[in-house]
Amino acid sequence: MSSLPIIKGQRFHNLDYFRRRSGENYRLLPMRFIALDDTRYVVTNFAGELIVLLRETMQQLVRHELDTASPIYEELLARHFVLDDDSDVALGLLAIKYRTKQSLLANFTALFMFVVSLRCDHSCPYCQVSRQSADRHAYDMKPEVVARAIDFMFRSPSPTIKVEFQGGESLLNFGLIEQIVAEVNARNVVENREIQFVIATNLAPLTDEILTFCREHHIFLSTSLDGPKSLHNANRPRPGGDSHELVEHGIQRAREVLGHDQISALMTTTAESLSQPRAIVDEYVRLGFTSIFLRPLSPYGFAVKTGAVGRYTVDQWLDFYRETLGYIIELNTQGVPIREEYTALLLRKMLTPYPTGYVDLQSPAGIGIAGIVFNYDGDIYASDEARMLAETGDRRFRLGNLINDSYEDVILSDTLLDTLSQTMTEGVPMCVDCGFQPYCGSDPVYHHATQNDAVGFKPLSDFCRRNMEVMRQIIRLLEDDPQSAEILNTWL
Amino acid sequence: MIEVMLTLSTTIYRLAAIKKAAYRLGNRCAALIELTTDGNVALKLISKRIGDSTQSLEADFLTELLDQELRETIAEETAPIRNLLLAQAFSGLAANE
Ligand code: SF4
Repeated sequence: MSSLPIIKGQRFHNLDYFRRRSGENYRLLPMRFIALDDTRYVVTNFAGELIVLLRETMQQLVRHELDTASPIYEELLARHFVLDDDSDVALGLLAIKYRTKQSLLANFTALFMFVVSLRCDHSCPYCQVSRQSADRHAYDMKPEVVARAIDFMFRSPSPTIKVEFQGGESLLNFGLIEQIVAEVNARNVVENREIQFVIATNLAPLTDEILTFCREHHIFLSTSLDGPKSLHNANRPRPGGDSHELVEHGIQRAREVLGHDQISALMTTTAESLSQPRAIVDEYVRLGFTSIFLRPLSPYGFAVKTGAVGRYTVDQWLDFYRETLGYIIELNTQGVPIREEYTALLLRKMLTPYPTGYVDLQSPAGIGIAGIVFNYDGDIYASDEARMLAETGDRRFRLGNLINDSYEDVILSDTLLDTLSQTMTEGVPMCVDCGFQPYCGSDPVYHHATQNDAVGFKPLSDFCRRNMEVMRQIIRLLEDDPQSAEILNTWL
Repeated sequence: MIEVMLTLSTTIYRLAAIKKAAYRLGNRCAALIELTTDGNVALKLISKRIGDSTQSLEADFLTELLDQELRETIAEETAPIRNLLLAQAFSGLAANE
């Protein structure tokens, strides 16, 4: 057993240390806070650690009236909210924790999305980009674009690179996917990066030949599953009305050939989904998934603007989120292992020292630096949402074109750098003081699309309201509901 | 449309806190902030919501104002440490990474 630490030449504090002392003896460390409810604040420190304090305690703390012999003081000291004469190492430790949280920035862009074709066999009303066209030449990625895209990608300093094939329906241009995988692997003999390939697909065109290729190249599949058959088929129409049947069969085949965990699914919440939280989760469980991502509809594109997609308010989505999360936790208490991914992501941000790299919850924003999209026509976009916005005619976040622009032109473009610096939540009104700032992001594309301003007026922002209420819900469960807290802690 | 008029002492509330509280309630009301001749702040809040009451708008503004005051106090006390932490977090990054 190691011996007790010696502090300032003594093995123990003297008796006076443990007597009640006034708050003159401590200094505040940087912290932000936000109301959790009428009686409590969520307080976060410089490195993003959180503590929930009663309003009176917070006021005593800031006025230097907190009893330094109290357990809450000891906790605040241990968790770097205050500093006293005995905690010399605290500042260095706090600086390291902060740096660890920002460490992903050093690696820069690691995700590259190749839109290999805009063609699609589905006609989902919420999709912004796909084309019902047989014209390969008009909507498929050209070879000269592919070569430039691969060159561009390897300019990234990141030791790990994720190549994601997107559409339209990406598998309608499977030949090009084979070619890109071969070329990337050949280049990587010299580059020596850790490469991961992902195909985003509705699984309808899946064949045994495709699966064999995926197995040989360790390719992960990501599909769309909106819920039970009736909901999924209503959201995702295709000739024959058999989208759900095809996706279910595809999931089974993919698991048989690639392994159970080599396929994941994403759901999109439509107005029709709001009344079916249990049925949606039950369908994910039935199909053997252990995670679900409750993704709200993006406010971009023709479909939403023209009203082709039923709109709903952020408060309706929040009710849906709370109810679905409650049901997922209930299932966990019955031994069914399933978790909600957005919640899990925020929990990791709140309760672990590690960064997550999720595009929408980062400062600086994830656009361009967490991921880049190479469109089929060679245009480069700062994110998938930026590409969707462009399809409505707004090319504000187009960073350049692979044929005409160099890596430096794109990465150092005013479009990217100005947006990143202006939207850093550390300096944005309201975010700068918000207790949730260490976990939140700025989503400039969303704010540009909804408020015509990349920074956005946060009191009117649905992005802000959604994240604030989701985080409040998670913290309320952690604080007030021990059974739920126990389950949420297993999602880290 | 209801309005709330308040006179706030600048020896008690910082101007920055008053402005931030008004900004924070920007989804609910517009604000006119003026300095009076005796150096205090005359504040007019104009509700944007149908059915809002003067009592609840005033109460919510004052709660928010106290929060913002607290934030200003923290920011003032911790500014030097914050700069030191940032310098420490990123100094020697190139050498270490
Ligand atoms: S967007 Fe809203 S919740 Fe997020 S940090 Fe800014 S103020 Fe806080």
